[in-house]
Amino acid sequence: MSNLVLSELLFLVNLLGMIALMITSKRHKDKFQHKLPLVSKGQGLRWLGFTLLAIAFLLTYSSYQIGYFVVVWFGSLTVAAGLVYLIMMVYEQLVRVKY
Amino acid sequence: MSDSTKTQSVPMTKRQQKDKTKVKGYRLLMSDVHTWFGLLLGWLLFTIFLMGTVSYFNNELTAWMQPEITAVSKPSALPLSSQNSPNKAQTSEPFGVAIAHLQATQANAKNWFITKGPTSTSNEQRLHITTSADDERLRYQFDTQTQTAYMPRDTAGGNFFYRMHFDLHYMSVIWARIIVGIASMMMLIAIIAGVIVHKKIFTDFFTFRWGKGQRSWLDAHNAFSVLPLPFHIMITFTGIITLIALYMPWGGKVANIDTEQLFEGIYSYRAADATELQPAPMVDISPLLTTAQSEWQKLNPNYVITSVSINHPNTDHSKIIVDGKADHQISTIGAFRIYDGQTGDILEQSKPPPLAVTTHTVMIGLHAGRFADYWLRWMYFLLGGAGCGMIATGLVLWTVKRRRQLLDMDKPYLGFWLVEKLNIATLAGLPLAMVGLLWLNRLLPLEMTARAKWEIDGFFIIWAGSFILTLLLSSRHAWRVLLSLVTLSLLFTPLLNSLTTERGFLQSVLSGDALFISFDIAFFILALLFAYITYAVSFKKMSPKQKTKSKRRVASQIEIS
Repeated sequence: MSNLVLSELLFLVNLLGMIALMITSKRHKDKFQHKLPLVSKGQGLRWLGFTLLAIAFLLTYSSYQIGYFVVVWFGSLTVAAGLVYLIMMVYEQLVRVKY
Repeated sequence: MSDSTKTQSVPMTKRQQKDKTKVKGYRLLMSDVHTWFGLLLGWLLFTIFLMGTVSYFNNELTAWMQPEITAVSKPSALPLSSQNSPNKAQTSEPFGVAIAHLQATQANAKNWFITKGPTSTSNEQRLHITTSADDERLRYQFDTQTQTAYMPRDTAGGNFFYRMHFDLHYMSVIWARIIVGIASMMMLIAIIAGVIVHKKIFTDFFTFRWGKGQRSWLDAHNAFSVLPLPFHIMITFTGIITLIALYMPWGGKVANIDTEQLFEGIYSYRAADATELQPAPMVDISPLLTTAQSEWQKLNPNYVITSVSINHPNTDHSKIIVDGKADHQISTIGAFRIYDGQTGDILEQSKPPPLAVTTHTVMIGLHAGRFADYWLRWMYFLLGGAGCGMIATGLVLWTVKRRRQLLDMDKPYLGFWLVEKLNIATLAGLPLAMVGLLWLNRLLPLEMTARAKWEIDGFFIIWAGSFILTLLLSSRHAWRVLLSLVTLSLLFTPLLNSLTTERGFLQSVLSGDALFISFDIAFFILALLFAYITYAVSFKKMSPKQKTKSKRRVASQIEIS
């Protein structure tokens, strides 16, 4: 796997994990409960989120430059969280403007 | 029985109460620690953080500030392609070409220093050459395929921001580093105290509440701090570790290490300081480079030669110093070999470093991020930006929190006034000065003497000017004026670039010049960001609820007094 592809994959898996964690978070889950039946069914989605982050971390071992990709993992974890945060910021502003 | 329970229950509740106040007190104490350790050197910390953040693109900034050095036309636009070059044995070839070129043009120089440009801005065929003859130093880039030398303009380059990050300016380097170190240690304390103070790290992880004044500022501050927390702790800690030998010299003292002798031992081979020189022919260097590289690659297949330095070429004291580094290696330590220039014998070579040295250099590497390719470098940049955001929102939060308690909004007490003015002059004035430096790079006449110095002086003049402006105007006006200036100057930088160079946006797109396209887009995005901040500062009036609240408070305060 080329370095760039692995970096992007790590970001993507981390992003999916962070989205799952955001959907199940205490302050946001009410918004999604009606639309996503999975959310209301207990902790399943939350575990999926943590599992995705863990899978991304294990993916770093598929390269022989493990140290490098552990740094990429940490970076993409944060940037993914930041992206989810920004999206929710914009979403809440839109909701605010609507009402 | 009831008596006994009474006597038992009274001390219990007392102890409980005591525990309760103790816990609360600790958090409150940490809250004070967080506030004051963050605030006192906050403006310096913001400067350090911003300078460090842009320094992740140090070489790119330098390349942008030397527009006369054209980009290397690459067969593929992907900047990462150089990593996958299958023929690594060939990489020492360009060094041979450059040495032949120097032999033809600078045979009598005191020293030749040839280094591979950072892979991000140039590629295998473009080398950076520094030669010094007598006391004059010549620096330029050399294209080994087309045999062209490129002389850049005299500019401070991205290196100014990089040095400013830890050396500050107009002062002794050692004192600057001590001050920067103290600031970083205070930052580390503020971060740890901040984690203790923050009650709902996980509950509020993705939370931002709009339009709630102080609550919104706090949410923003939390977002900038909590999401990149691993980065903040890493960058602050490794930043201190980078200069740990300066901050904690006692280890060396206890071990009886004579630092001067140590440096002498390390640099005696590297310095070109011999005086009595006799002309003598030199050994053929290319085979030496090939063997050095192939032997290093036996240990780690990623090793490549990064620089070749030749002291006193063509004399009996000539020495050839070859440095190599592994691609994508976090640690900044590399391998080196020093050859006798006449015979080609190895005089000295690197040994595997002790574990402590490796640990130290891994931390330096993690901090500087030079090992990172573009994907990771952008992450470093974004996280550094988040750090700037954290400090900026923290500084503003200090005033937001206290503004509501002010008796008279227009006449704050001295401390509040000072913090607010320093906030404006730093948070808006520093970005303005930085863009100003880029403008000076394009506008100052090319033949000007001490041009690079004037760029830097101009930077500080603009910064000082923005501080004076802050003092003259009311705080609200000063924010608005300075932020508008930052927005406008960022917005017009691409235009200025297209007017003063031949590498405007259209030409860059046509020639596939990825670096200049990225810069134009980055300026535009930053202009949008600052436009939003300006908008938020200028047009957001205090909500009527808040106004009546503060009015009521003022009224009640007056009544009391």
